Amino acid sequence: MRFKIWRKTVLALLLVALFGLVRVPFEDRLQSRMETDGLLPIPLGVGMIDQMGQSAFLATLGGTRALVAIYMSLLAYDSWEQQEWGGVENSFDVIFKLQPQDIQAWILGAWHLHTNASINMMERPDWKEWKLPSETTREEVRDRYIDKGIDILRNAVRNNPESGKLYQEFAWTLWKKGMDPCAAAEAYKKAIEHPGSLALVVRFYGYTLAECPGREREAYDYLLDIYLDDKARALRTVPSVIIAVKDLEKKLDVPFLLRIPDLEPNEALRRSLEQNSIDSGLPWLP
Amino acid sequence: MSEPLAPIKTMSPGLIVGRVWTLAASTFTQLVRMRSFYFILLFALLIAAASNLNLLFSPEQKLRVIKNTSLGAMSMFAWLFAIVATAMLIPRDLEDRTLYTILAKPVSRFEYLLGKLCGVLLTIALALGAMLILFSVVLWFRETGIIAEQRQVLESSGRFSEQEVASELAIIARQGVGWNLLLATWAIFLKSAVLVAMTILISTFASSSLFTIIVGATFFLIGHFHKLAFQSLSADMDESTLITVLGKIIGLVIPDFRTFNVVDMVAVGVPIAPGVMTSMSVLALFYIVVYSLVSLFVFFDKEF
Repeated sequence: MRFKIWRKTVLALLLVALFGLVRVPFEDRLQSRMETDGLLPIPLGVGMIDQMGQSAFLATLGGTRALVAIYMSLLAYDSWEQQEWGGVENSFDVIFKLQPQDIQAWILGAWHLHTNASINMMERPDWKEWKLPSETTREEVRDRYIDKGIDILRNAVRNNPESGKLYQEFAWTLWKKGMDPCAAAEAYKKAIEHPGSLALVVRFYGYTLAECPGREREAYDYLLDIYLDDKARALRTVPSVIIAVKDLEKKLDVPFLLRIPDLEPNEALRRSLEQNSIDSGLPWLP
Repeated sequence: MSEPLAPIKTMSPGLIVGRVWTLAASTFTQLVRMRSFYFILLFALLIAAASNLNLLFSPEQKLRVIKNTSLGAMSMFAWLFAIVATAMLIPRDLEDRTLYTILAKPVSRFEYLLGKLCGVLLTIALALGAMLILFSVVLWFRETGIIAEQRQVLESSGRFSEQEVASELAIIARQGVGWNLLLATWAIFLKSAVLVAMTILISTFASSSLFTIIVGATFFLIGHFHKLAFQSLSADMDESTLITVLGKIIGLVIPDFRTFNVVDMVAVGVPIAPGVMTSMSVLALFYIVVYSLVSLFVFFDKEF
């Protein structure tokens, strides 16, 4: 009787394995097609267990990555409320690995570090209680968080090279937070080439070029083209383009007769636009 | 002199389908009586919570949270139900002695197994369908509200052109109700159907429900990572022959559930090609047919 059961078990296993011989090549082909289509989630390393907890890691194996990502978002939110930036960073790190295609998650995670954490570094009263090397200054830690935010966006564009929106965000962060207009100009150029970014990136590319040392002439030609194109199509040119062209005319010492006829834009308006941009944390949108 | 009795026709296709349907319907009733549909109430609460969750989310993320939560919960329900409910069916029929009554009638063991399989699949399909409708309605309401709200915000700011507003709203709408949700639900169903067939196969060997649940859940987990685990192990151990052979054997015996894991990617908006969906359905059908035949092979002359 026992022998009969064992014989049956072995035979059943053999039948299943035989089916496997037919199935596996078909499955492999299907999986490689799914990988090409971006349908197979990138496998998580075992090292992720420490970051997300054992049960959450196991849950991701059962096809509930998205659910675990929401759980990690809740943890990130909680850490943000407590101003625990390490917790925010860790939670978002897991979210990026779980759902690298979630563009908004990359943007939000980076914003927490390059804006919230970096500003918080300059305001926290408990600064002295931190276990940091004595020579470390607040400014250094702030800059580290800005760099971390920029690194997140750099990874984001690497993972989603077709997203114009990510290039736009990356460019703005490089420009306004990283103070690197040359790198920002390159990112804006990519944003123009990819779908999903706003039309303003066309102008912003010119502004960042204007701030990039050595590329002023290129910026002047580019912005002047925008200005002339608007005039040819009887469109109203946005004030910031006029401001930028006029600045460049002075900087490049363009002959008076070749300068654009518009009046020097109001300095007060300019200041108010810049102040608005700083207050809202948004790009300068005249 | 009395005439000999005509043999009872039990093998006509109509009768077989009728008997399988009767068994499937009774299995469905049996599972409904186990209060398995209470999960839908829990699901409704979960969606309500998810749709009111606001963790600094952008408009499209708000929709994605509803989608992620719902698809995740549906996925979890489907695989848990597929293992636990299926594992309990044959032992319960044995305990209630229903199995003896059924098999004493002109019902073949194949029809019995097929009836059980169809009953569980029917329950899962109806539950998933109900959940899909429920969450699509919630998602549609939220989508409509969010798009109207965003349109007003973008237009009143005066900073964006009509084209830019339309493109921003299209990004949000991509996270709303669409055919992809139906395909994702179908993928969840396929995965659970394979799991049901596998669990029935295990339960034909098993002596208790607990054993079936434990082995089924273990196989389900292993089925998600065995290929990757053995690839990584093999690389770590300098392409060890033993590890490679062991990996291949496990790969032949245990289903690769990763193939059906498209839900996570659908949740972030990756489109599924119809060809992929068809191949996936064919693969699932193969699994179900083969596992059912092997189950029959084991169950055919099993003594109770």
